[in-house]
Amino acid sequence: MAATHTAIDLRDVDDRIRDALERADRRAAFVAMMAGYGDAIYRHCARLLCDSTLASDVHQAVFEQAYRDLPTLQDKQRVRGWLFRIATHRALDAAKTRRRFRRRFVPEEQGSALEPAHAPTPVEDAEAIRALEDCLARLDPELRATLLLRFKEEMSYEEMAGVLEEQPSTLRKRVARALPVLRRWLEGKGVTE
Amino acid sequence: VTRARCTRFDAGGLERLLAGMPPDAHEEDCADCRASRSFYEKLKGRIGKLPDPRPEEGWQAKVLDRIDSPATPAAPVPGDVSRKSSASQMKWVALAAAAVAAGSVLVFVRSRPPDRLSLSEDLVAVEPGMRAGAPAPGDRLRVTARVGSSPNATLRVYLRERDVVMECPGPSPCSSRDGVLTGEVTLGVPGTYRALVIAGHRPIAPTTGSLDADARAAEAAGQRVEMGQSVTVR
Repeated sequence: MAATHTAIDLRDVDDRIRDALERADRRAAFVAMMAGYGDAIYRHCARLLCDSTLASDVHQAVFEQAYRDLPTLQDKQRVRGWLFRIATHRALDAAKTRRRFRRRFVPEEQGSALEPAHAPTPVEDAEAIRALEDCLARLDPELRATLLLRFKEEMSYEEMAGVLEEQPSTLRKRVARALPVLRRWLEGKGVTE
Repeated sequence: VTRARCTRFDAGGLERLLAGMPPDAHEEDCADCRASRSFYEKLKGRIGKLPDPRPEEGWQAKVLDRIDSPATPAAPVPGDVSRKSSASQMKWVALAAAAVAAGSVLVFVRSRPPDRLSLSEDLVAVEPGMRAGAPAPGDRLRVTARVGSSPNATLRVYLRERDVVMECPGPSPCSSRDGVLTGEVTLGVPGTYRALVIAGHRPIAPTTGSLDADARAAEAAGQRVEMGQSVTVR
């Protein structure tokens, strides 16, 4: 249901952006872009980075870059994919930089905290969502980005291919590789169904 | 002893599920595979139902402020109209405050924490096109580092984290003024480019030919270090 509303709203947003760009009103196009896609791009950054402070920085940097690059946006039908592409690149870069600093300054975590020491008990759905958030945070950022674009943002593999610069078949395989990992971790936390 | 679960679903059933195909004959007959299909269906739904974090209030104004005044480090607080209307009264207060501040500035300078380093990168594309985040050979990277009052600072751009292709101050075209170092480099060949700024009270050591080693050495010497985001040219 929510996805339908989002699709309608985004068509409207894209129309406003396109109209503004046709009038050469870059600022109006940009304001419409922030209003229409700001929440979705932040959500994507926050989910990819699992850190609200870093996500805020990256989110704002994404829109600053989008403003700079707006004159180069040729396919005005595909604003969403274009923005998600900038956001994913920026967020993955930030995650990589953070990993490098952590490797240098923070001791590595020992072992896997996700393997249970005893048989887990089944959990309710809200708990399952919380467990899922934990497990997603442990996943490699590129796998996380792929799963989020597919199942959270409900992008097709073809749309994702434009964002992640991979073949749709590669992305489908990546999803098929990531889901069993998540399942194993979730089962370790008691999410068995 | 627990029974081993049938693994045929992960070997092919999952891809069928992801392609939107119905279960095959084995899956229909196998309780494990039916349970697996059900688990993954729920998992997909749960990812979709993850709570949506929201951006901070006022983020759009912050972005617009930065776009409107890229050279201004700090934007005024939006909505603070009282400051403007009572500007003349505030002038005297400001003068008094300045006098007090002047008296205590030496103490403050001695005890204040070091300025925060910041590093920003702008890509200047030579050929416009829809390739956001995907620079091409020939594009230029403009890097700006704010180093505050540090007496020694250097800004470098490394190619493949080994070769320094821009150093400021140095032979590369760059400017260094009022605690701001700005340099520009042409992304001439494919590879990953990354900026590093080092600032501190001691002289900066020359590069060892490794971004990591340079950053570690600077940290060990008590200098401040900030690393930029990598820019990959394909």
